[in-house]
Amino acid sequence: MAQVTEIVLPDGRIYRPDDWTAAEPLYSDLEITSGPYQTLSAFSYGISQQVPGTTRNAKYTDTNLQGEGGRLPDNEEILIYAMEIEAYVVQLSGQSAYGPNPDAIPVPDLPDVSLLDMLRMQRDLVIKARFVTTQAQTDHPMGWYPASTGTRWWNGGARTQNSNNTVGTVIGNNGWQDANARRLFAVPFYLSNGEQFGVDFTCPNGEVGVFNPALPKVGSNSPLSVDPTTGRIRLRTIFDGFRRRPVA
Amino acid sequence: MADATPIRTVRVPGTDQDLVLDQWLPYPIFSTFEIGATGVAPATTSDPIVITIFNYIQGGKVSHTQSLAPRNALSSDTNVTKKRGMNFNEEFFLYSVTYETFGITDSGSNSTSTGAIPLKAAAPMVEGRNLSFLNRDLLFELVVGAGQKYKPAVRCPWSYLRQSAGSPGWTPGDSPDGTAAISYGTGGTPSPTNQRRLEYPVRIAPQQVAYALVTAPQGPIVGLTQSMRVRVYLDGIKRRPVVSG
Repeated sequence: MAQVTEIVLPDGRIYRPDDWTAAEPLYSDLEITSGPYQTLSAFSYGISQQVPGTTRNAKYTDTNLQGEGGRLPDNEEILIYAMEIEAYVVQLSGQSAYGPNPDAIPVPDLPDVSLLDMLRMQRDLVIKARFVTTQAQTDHPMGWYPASTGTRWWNGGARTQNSNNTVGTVIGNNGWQDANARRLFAVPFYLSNGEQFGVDFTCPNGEVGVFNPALPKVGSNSPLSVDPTTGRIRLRTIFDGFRRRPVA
Repeated sequence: MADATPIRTVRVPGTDQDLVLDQWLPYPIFSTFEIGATGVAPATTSDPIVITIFNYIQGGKVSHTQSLAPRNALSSDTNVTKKRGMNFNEEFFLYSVTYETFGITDSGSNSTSTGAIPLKAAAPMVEGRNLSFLNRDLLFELVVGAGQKYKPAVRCPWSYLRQSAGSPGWTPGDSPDGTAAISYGTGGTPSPTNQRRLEYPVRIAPQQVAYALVTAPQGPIVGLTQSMRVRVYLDGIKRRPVVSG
């Protein structure tokens, strides 16, 4: 049976059946690495287009934004109550028992982010969300937008696989991992059909993990622990709220 | 419409009144300060702490104590648009104060006992007891209005403020590498639910003076093992002008 996607009313108006849902948040990935950093933007691409910071095309685990990215499709609306940012390590490289870049604390196994790297990102990344205008509607560090996702661990003498079971690690998360740990906007943001938007991950230092480029990169001034040539940290931005989508 | 001049005010027809186009946003204001710690473990101590924050903008000097080198503020240090107050076209309602911390230096050994495993907090981690020192010794005051230094809008021990942004730390359950222990602390669970909401919000009017003081009234904090960076958030809603286009 053909699916009804459009109804022309007797007076000529066109009605498109749609529904509001709170069951599919809008989300978008990007990937960062150590080394010089260029601003990357979440929601700047749609499904099957290139994920920022990578050379691969997006799958549904990267984003569920339809269209060319940078704008809401013409047949959708969204009311955003919260923005949540979660992080995962995509790839480690090297055969060192301590991971590719020995850090002050040995790095975790994939896909967990070390506490040191999480704190470096929270310290150095500033999130600027744009809704409709080019003026940033948010201008706050990454830790202000907790993930409300992640794993809670209970360990006892845990050792990592990448160290061949010789050392442990300390794992971090962008905020607490419970669902009620999201930060709600006091005033929700609304996007209508076709309106432009994006979330820019900026780094005023120029390099995530290095807060004073004039100093040598040791100790507290260390870059992210991921190998700059192959390792990356995936950051997923989630817009939590209500979405209106077409029924077909 | 290409290259249109942004509309900021609208003259109400038939009157001499201007309607200013602005918006209310969930837009916390944040400002950073840094505390220096000197000495050799275990005899470390902080600098005297008498710091003013929300008194600089990007490009200005980050508030710091005497042993730390001055540095220019980046957008990760502050989003304040006017030093020590609100712009004429801005307004703010404060509902809560919170913070997050980062170590600038690594923590040193806290023990001279033979065979003792030193506690270790590699920067940017903050050793748990350094937060406890802040809780014990620091005073936070938010001054709103000119000449109101002795009647701050907010005054509380640092312990009263909770840390709602940051990272939990999941340890392996013992020493990660067999030679060092780990100590990491946060000011409570790093979650938005960990903020004290003011029963009466504090209003900062347009052009009103507003800044915060962070002090250690009893003198330098003896035993502080790390130089630390603290980012303080005034959580609330802000009115600011709209720029269209």
